[in-house]
Amino acid sequence: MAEFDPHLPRPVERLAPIVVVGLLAAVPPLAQVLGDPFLIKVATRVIVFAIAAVALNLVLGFAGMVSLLQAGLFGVGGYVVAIAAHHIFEAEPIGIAGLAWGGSADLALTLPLAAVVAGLMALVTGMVSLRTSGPYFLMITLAFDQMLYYGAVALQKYGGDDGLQILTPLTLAGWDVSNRWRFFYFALALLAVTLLVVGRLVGSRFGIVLRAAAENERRVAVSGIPPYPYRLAAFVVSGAVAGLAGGLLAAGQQFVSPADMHWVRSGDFVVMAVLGGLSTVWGPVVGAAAFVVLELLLSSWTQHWQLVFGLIIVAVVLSLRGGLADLVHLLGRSGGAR
Amino acid sequence: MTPQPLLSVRGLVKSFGGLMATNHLDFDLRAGEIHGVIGPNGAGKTTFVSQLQGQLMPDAGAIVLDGRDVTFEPAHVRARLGIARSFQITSLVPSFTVLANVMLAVQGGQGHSFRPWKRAWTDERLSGPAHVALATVGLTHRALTPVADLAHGECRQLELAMALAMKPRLLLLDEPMAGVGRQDGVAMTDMIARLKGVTTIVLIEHDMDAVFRLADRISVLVAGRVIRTGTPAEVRADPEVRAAYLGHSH
Amino acid sequence: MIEQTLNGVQLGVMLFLMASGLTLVFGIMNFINLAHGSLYMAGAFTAAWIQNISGSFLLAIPAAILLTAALGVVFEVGLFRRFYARNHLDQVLVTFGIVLVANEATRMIFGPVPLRMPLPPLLAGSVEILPGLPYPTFRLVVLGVGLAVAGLLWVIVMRTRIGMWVRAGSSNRPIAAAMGVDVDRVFAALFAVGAALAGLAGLMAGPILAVQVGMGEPILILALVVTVIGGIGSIKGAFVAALMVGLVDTFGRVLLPPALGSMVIFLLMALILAFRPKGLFPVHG
Repeated sequence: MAEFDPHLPRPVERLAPIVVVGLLAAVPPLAQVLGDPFLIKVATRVIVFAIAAVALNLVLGFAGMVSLLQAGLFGVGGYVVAIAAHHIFEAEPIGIAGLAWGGSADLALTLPLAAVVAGLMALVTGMVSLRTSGPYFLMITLAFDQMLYYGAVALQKYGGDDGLQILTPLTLAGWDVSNRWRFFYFALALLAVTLLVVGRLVGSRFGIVLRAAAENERRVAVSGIPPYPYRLAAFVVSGAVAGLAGGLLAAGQQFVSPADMHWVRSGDFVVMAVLGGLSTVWGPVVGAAAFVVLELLLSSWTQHWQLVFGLIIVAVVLSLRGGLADLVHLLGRSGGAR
Repeated sequence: MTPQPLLSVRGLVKSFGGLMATNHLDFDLRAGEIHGVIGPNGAGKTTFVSQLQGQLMPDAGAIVLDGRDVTFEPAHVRARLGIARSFQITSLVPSFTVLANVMLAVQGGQGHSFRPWKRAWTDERLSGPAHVALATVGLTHRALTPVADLAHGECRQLELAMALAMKPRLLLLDEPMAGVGRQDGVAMTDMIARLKGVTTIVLIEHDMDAVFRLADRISVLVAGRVIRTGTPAEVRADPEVRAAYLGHSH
Repeated sequence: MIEQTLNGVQLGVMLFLMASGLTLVFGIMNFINLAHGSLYMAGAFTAAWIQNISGSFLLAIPAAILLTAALGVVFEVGLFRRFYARNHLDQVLVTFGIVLVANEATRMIFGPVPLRMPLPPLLAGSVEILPGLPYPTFRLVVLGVGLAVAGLLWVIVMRTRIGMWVRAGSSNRPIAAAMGVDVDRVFAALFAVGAALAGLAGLMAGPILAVQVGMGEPILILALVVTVIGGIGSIKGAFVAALMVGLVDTFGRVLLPPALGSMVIFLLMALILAFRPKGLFPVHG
């Protein structure tokens, strides 16, 4: 498992994120040539899910904690963008703590806001859930996810169960992003930044502690480092980026729904991270692509695609006898020895 | 006994269920000495070290490090105050390389800092001291080997390097020779001998030859309490110690 | 007020039926079963289906319980058994896969429209529990059955040989394995009991709630909350926490605005874990 080592960024690992982003960047021209604009929509979806899955992997793959809260934080970001736009459309200011805010349809403002709100939510829930570990952590994050889900369903003012439509054209600092190409490259740029940030985090002192604590918590404590603040910081960063991705999804499809906050969606994010391999920063991008393509192929084949998808998950987990670490290992090996 | 002790333990008690693993234990450590702790199996040596280091919390008593009461401080705080430990059972980060393990320890010795943006593996402030510690224990040639591929003796050396990398004021060595071959044992003994004066050491060890050769003073632990403390010669001559311990085994 | 208290206790005993299976399976097999809610759903659908084709509510009861128990054994022997020694991530993934399969398979068989499960006349009415305070008969029956099962489970766990083994197993697995019991068979039996209890809960929920795809998940989440609050592996903890959650949830929904009411349980959980990270009755040291 030398691929975990911070001192040995193998050439393939340094190039892989660039290759992945480069391949995605080629999609719109390709769609143009093929005369199939639907491809751009699919690739946008891949990018949005990839951002959330890469962020999740900071917590799951590197810090070794199975969080099922990612969809909830993802959804929080979506609701921030949608609600801000909704108030512009309704021309009805939002009152927060005595201040009135007219809302905004400018993503340059609402996307960072989505990240901040989701990050704060991660901070509060993380402070509680990170006091525990292992199965407790897993179950608590699952419960918090459902809490946010029920919270969104209870937002009658914003569509409740049915979700909330964005009826105002969104801009990015005055720049129209309803153009598919523009929105695509904007999202791709955010993915590239996410990969860069997570990559840096993982290779830093912070990352060393995070990864060491995942394997041997006692060793880290004996070295004079309490793992808790590191884990909390990772959890908050991961949550904030998830909120950003959720905001992007809402902006892209002009719609947000509690369905994207359901714990099953959190499970999907875990599957993406696992499919792509937990030991690399860029792996979840591949996982997200596999997930979206599989979703698309299966659902065009049968309306009961989730049945097939569930069976595929079971088969994948079952066929790797030493757990999914096997998959990571296999992928690591086929990725080229150093 | 004039200088103030670096570490002072008074009336330490720790029981597991009905078993008194530590029974009103008193212990003083002078700065700069190598202090051997010996005793028969089950005398509570590892339990004692774990309480010094903070992995176990005592039921009663006081532990004072250089005038500061650390009795109930958590392990990471004590580590920050300069207490380092090597484990009886090897405790490393298996997927990391040797160097990365030592860098983790260096980082602990340098205190809190996330430095989220700086690449750790090019950070001289981390790798520099790490290489020095590796050179001290003679593991330089294995720096980039994953820990999972190390031999047992090398793991013990790495444990020691990690403890040293924290630049500790007090080094707790819990059976550094355990499970090490004869040759490695000799090398380890030499290495500890070279640390004399560099740092203060509490040495728990079953290898009596090594303890009597290395230690300035020795405390004999029986049934959770210190029955005698003295120079190796004094301890060797003590009839009570002989009766309780040396006479039976070894 | 009395009515809400009864509702809360009734939700509590339902949660206990769910959580006892979860907590035992986790405590003894160290296995996180997210598909536990699917067994609940299976119980409800089987009951509704048998009742609709046979017209007999009485027949539906044993059918639902036996079928879910059998399903439990099939899954335990065929699949989950291989995952006891694996890490929690693998367990989550495999049971997550089963949840997707179970939901979609149920949708294929029964369609997206909720099934109806009418009550027999004897149970359909209400009784006057206090002068001027009628309460639905069936809910009283649910409450009685739930308490009776809880009592029975208590006696089994606390008084019998197998119960002793279960208690030993949930606090110290190696000792349990060394006690000379056929571990495989006990595990399968234990899983079957947990499944049957989930099936029973589902069957009793059928006439009260809608029998529909995905019905297992809200109750699974609440049961997880109960398990965590009570302390994973503790039957006693599950019982206390189930009643607590049942009452707090019921009163929260009545007394608080809807958004807050649906979250109050999770706030309770956060509060308890802030002070007791291993739950109220921690089992594993």
